[in-house]
Amino acid sequence: MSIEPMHEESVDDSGAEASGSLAATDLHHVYGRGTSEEHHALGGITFSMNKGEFVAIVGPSGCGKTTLLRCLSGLMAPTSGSVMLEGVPVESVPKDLTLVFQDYRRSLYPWLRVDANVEFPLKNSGIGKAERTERVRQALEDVGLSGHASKYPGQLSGGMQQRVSIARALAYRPHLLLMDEPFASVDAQTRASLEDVLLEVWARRRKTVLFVTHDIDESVYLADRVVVLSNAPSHVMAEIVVDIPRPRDQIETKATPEFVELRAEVARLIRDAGTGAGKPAGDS
Amino acid sequence: MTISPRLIRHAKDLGLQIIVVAAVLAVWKLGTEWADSLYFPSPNKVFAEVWNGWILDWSNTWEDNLQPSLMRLLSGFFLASFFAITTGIAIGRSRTLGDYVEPIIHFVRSIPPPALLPLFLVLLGIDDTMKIVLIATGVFPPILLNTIDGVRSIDPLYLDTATAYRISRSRRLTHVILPSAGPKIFAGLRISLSIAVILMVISELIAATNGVGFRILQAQRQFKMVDLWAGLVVLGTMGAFLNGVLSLVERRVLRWRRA
Amino acid sequence: MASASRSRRVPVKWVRGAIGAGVLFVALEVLTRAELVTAEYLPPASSILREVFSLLTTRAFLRDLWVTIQACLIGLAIATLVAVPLGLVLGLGRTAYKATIVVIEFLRPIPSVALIPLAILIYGRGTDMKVALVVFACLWPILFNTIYGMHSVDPVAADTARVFGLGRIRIGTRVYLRSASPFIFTGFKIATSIAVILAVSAELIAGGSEGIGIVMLEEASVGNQKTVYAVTIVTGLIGLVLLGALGAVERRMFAWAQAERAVA
Ligand SMILES: Nc1ncnc2c1ncn2[C@@H]1O[C@H](COP(=O)(O)OP(=O)(O)OP(=O)(O)O)[C@@H](O)[C@H]1O
Ligand SMILES: [Mg+2]
Repeated sequence: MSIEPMHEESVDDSGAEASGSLAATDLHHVYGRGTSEEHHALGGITFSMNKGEFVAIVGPSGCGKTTLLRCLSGLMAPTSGSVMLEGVPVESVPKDLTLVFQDYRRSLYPWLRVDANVEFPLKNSGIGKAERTERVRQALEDVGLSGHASKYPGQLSGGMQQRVSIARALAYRPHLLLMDEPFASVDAQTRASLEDVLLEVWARRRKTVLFVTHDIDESVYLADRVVVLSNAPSHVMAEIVVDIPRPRDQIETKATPEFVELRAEVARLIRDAGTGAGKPAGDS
Repeated sequence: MTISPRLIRHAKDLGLQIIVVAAVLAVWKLGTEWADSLYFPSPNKVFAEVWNGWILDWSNTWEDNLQPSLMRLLSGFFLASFFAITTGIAIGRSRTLGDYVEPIIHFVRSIPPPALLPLFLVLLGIDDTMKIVLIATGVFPPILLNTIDGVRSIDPLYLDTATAYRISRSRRLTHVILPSAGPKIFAGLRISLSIAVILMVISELIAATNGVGFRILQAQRQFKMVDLWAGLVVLGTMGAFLNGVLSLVERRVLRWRRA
Repeated sequence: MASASRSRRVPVKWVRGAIGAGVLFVALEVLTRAELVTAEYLPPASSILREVFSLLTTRAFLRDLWVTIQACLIGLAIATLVAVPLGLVLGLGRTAYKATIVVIEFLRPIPSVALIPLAILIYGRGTDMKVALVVFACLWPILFNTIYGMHSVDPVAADTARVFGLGRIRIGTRVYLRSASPFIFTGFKIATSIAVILAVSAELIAGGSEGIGIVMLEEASVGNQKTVYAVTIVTGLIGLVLLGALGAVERRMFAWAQAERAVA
């Protein structure tokens, strides 16, 4: 995998103000309301993130992280509460936002080849052919799939499919990127490089990233701030500011005492989140 | 150097097919010679008639038999496919619309297609319009129902993904919904093709002055058994050919499924 | 949650279905009453419906109906009695299976209705001819699905039976027949639709004196649109009843089997 640092030719949006401040207030979501299988997933989540920030969300399995991202992105209306993007209520998916789905297998279109999958959303936004091709090439290179552009998703491994769905989001270049456990299925080696690619793109294009993960190391390594959710009905248990300087390094950063300390703190909080509701703490 | 086991298996299958077809022909030949039946002429005579009566006289057979039959069949088939797929998508996308019209569709589907013939005969007469309308009506329900089913069973995440990337309504329809319903639509088309052939034959046996079915009927009336069998062979070949073309198109359109 | 909302949806669905059918009925009625369409093309829907009821209470028509259905039932019975045992035997071996598939593929493109002129010459224009055609056409789907079902038998189940010392014949009936039965039933369902198609087509082409197809042709030849419409609707009702009944039997008997649909 190549982690090429700078692509001077395509700095179209880096000159602009980094945008994408997102605020959620008292979000509740109840599935199957009024039925015997009613499930209160979100129990009043309030949090906000600033433009250009990198926030990680961790929490026990099944606590409602995916639900939260769906509400934040405007894919789904919460039962109550509000989501504001730059002061405007989010009612449908906003223009400069997209989501990397947790279930990557079902979010790629099996009838489109890898490059066509990545290019598909770009055809909507009036971007010229040459520019589209370049973005696709760049994004596939970033995730290390240059040689697989003309394969069908069905011919790739799970980890590779997951990387295609990341490449699609990168090529789309939203200001605000919501990612739902995007690296869950890739091997440790690739995962480390993808983390660095993401950090590099984030820094260069001043994106705002909200990143759901089960991996505590990953959350501390990537984020400016880690938000810990409780068991369902979930609320924000704690927010931990990660003031480790950037650029960070996979080996050196993870060996620093601050990192080790923060990681232990997050782990403790997650354990308490699990036991707090009388349930085991997820699978992380 | 080794030969892959798959290749060996394919070769074996091919060998088996050749043996079976040869055996069928041999049984046919020996059986007819031994029984000397009035109704079952030997394959030699039948294939000789196919050669002399159909192939050597190609321009006439094309004009009088094949072309009229194919024209009726394909017009009806394409007409129905177009309308069935478009309405199927509309109905599949809307639960409410589906609830209103589905009982009607299921009722029409349960009419055995040939039973529509007398009605169309009395309404439209005996010309080609009647035959095309008959074929189109008969093949409409299977394509429609399969399209509805295909559109309904689309993975909701495909649509969520389209929403997350703000894909326009029209592109969502043509690039997401239609391809994902593709396999089911083709299943409907395959069923419909065989119904179309049945209806073409029946309408030509009852109300035509040309076409492959008409030629078979003539042979029957004149008690020309060899001609009748040759007509069956030609009809079978035509059916196999059309099926083959549809399969080729399907393989091409749905090639991603083999990935 | 899913099941709760589904059960709530069912009455809504029925109400809407009834409304849909009602609207169609009224629209057709208005079309003719307002003389937008001449009665020659479309008699008033209410008169067609009345005709359906009067047909279904007329002895002569019920006799014709029975003649057609009888041919279907006899043909289906013979085809089943031949195809199922044959399929069980052929299904035991791979080669026999593949050979049968080749034969079926070879014969499939010839639409069975094209054999009607031949069958008329051999069997005349009566019930024999219809039965012969139905048998021939229904044999293949039942045979194919039986063999297919035999191949879906879990080899572990067969081995288990052998370990417990069940004899060959009992393995055959207990394990194979039971596992293959949903597939056989699928074949039977396909064969049922085919049987009706062939019986009606044979009557339309062969003529003759009794049968539902004959009634339709006769009424059509004297330009009695109303009755032709009514009989066509009756054929649809028969189809609904037959397939509905088979579907109900299938759901009751084979709920345990998530049988893959094999289409022959
Ligand atoms: N469409 C739905 N209908 C009913 N319940 C749902 C639905 N989607 C999710 N749930 C329930 O809501 C809860 C939260 O689900 P969600 O997918 O948001 O959790 P998550 O935190 O993303 O879990 P994971 O870590 O496993 O991805 C779960 O208990 C789940 O069963
Ligand atoms: Mg999740």
